[in-house]
Amino acid sequence: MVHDTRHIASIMKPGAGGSTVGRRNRWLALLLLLPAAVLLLFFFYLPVATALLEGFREAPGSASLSLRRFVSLLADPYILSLLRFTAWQAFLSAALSVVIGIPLGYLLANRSFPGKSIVTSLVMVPFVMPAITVALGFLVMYGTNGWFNEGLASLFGFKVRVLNTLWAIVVAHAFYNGPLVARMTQGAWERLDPALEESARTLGARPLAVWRDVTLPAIAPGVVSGAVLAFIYCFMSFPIVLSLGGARFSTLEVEIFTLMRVLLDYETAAALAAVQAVVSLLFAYVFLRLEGRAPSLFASARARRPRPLGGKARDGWLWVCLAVLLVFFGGPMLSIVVDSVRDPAGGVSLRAYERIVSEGHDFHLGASPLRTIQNSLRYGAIAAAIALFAGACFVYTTVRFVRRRLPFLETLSLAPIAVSSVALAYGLSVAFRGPLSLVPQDVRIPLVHGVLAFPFVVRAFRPVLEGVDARLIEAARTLGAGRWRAFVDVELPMAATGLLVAFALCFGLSVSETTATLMLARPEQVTMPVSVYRFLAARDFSAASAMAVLLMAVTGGVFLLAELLAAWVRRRQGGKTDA
Amino acid sequence: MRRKGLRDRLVLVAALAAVLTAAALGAPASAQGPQRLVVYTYDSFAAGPAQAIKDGFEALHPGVEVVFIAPGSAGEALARVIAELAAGGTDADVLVGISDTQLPRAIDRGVFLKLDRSLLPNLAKVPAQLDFDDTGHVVPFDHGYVTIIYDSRVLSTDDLPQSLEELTDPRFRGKLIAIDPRTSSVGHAFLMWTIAEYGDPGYLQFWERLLPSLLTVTGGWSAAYSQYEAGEAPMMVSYSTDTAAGIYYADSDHSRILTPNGQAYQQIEAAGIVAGTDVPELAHRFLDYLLSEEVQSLIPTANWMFPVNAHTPVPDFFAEYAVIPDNPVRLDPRLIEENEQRWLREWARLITGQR
Repeated sequence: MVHDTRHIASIMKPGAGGSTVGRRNRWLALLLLLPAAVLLLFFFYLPVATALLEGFREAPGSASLSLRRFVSLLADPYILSLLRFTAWQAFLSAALSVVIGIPLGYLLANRSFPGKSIVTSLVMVPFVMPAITVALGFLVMYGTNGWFNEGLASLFGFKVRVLNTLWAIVVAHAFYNGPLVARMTQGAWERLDPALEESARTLGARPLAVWRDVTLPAIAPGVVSGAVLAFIYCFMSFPIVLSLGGARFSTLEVEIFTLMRVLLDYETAAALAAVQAVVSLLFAYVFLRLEGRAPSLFASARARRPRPLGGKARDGWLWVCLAVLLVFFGGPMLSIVVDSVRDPAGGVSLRAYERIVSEGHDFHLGASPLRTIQNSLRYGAIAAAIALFAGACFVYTTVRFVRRRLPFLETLSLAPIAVSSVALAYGLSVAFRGPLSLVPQDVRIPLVHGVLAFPFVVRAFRPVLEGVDARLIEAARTLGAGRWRAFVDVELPMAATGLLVAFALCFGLSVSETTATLMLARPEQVTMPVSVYRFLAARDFSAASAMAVLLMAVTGGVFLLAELLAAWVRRRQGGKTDA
Repeated sequence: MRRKGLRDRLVLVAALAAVLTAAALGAPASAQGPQRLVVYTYDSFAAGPAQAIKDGFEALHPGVEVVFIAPGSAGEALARVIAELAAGGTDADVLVGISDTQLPRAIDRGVFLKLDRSLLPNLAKVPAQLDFDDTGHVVPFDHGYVTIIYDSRVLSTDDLPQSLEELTDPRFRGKLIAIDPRTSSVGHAFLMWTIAEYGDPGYLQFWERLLPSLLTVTGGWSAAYSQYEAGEAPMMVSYSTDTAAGIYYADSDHSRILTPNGQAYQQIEAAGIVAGTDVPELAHRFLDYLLSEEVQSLIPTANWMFPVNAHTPVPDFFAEYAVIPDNPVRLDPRLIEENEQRWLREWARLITGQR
């Protein structure tokens, strides 16, 4: 086995030992950046610029520009206090997501257990749940008379107040984002060669030192990627904040919403949205810079083989973790299922399901329930295809051609999720009536979803692609493989987990997005979460829950299929390495 | 060995591409042809009476297709019209569901066409006090009352607050769920009520006294109602039709209506014709149809509001349990327009403790 020495020697920084970028490569690099540039420029930066420009106008409709709104906003102690609280709750939420994400990521990367694919798909499902459904799940789970408190009361004789506190917000945000961090951590972890940790241990390093010097630096890109996304996501959050914490915990986005949708003051709203975007991207930039300073990165040619989650004593804490995580993620989801089969008149019934699948039900005007499912799946698939293509090209270019960290460019690539969704929706509806009016109606929603999913692809794909040893590709190319062949044969299978996670996130984002969808949709373009809100508006609570369960089941099914596909690709790859 | 691997993967990629394409082509393009009347409205109206209105109007006017578009709440529907108008044109011919409080701003932004009231004969059946728009841009189509509802299984009749002021009593500590006036029209109505009751700086002191009684202030009605139904608190800010709705949906009358001093805040919902429509005459006929007994009789159980047409029969249980207060409260929309930004800001500062 030549493996060991080679792997110990493979400690390298990305970019070390690379050759200079040739002229031909430069053209190729530019060509590969084109899809991302077109996508972001036309369907993000143009509409956003339209919307945010309003913030600079001297007066509504005026052509002369000024910064006076920004000056008065930034001098307003109330706005500054909103900014502080928004950042603080986002920081706490991202931190808890990391605390949950690391053990879960460890489990997924290092252990196999029965039903693992199902668990892996299940933990991604919260990502698509409408905020109001999560609020309901949390009410049943953590309410005063909820399962958690009933359990506490019967075991220890006391209850705790979770709902309507800062903790409800933070825990709900972690419910959404913990899996995100976990999957990104998993991707990085799988590319860490176990031999590295083994040799460190053989050389006498204590477990804590191995963790600090080998494991942590290796998984850091994944953890940071997940944490940055979680932070921005929570920075922009507002339905969850208001439903679970209440108005006492208002964020900046509530203020923007109020200005834009209630007071119709587009100018101040735009100025505030610009401030919000700059601040959240500034935080993201700092994170990404810190990640760039991580001591060293490890590239690996061999995937780690997860071993069975066993009965050995040192696996005990992992069983506990698994159980806690299953309750944490499964509890609120299960409570929605229970709610959907609860008959308003008492007892259990499937009548809500009958109502949501009956054709000709007049709740959806031009879109039967079947059609809403079809719409959601179709938009999700197209959005994922668009974002994966543009994002993978972008990441490939920055990792393989540029070979330097470009925190600024990477920060800009995160912008689609860092701009207020109400401001973006306004900009989009203006743009699609003006410069983009030639874009066919049918692809508008998936295109916008693709743009919103782009940052997720970049963050999910980058750490795993960086983890693929560049010398393997050089070896493949020395043996006569073209760049494309090397990409398809070597890099793609090794980055399978990253791509899979990217797909799940894109799909999930598209399936759950409502703000832009509602702003652009024609009547027949109703999607599943819109339908959930519509059932709620019609006071049909059990039908809303039934539709939410259907949403979770359908997307969970898609995630599971993707999971099985990736497992198949990985198995084939594994077989080849052994051969 | 290598070639085979590559081929397998290509097959896989092709299969994926085929699935995606098939999914993309799944839905046929919508048909063009009949004269279209596009109506923007809010989601509970779309989920409620809209389908019956569409069917009824299309039956009366062969060759006409009514298309309802519901971009969310009433505020969101208005926002979409304004954004589209700003970009040079909207699809909307009619907007159903503008609140009286948002009307002045919508008129200022040029959203509505002035109505030709001679084309609206049914308007004669609407009492003058509900026909609030003296600028002649919109017609009311329903009205409702925002008040406090309570769970009669938890609070006994002799324990109830008799006035807004009594809500601040220590015995109601943490017992009331309010709704954010910035994100919900119900919450907005309740705030306006307190301003009408206590006056301009006075309302802030009232809210300060009310704070201990508030369990939470949620973003929307659904979140508040779920918490109320789960027993987190026995009172919430809601509509005076809730008992009737509880009977209709769940055969349960445990939610009861409070009208302290016979008061509740009146909301009037209106509809208007969007400027730039190319079917103004058809749009007028649609508004008039909205005021007909045929549509107005749908309003109680499909929209849980009160019909404006005085000749409309309502179901017995609705007449019995849905409450029209003796002294409805309402603020002048112009007064609201002038002060709303400051009021909402002052309220938010108080609630978040950032005064």
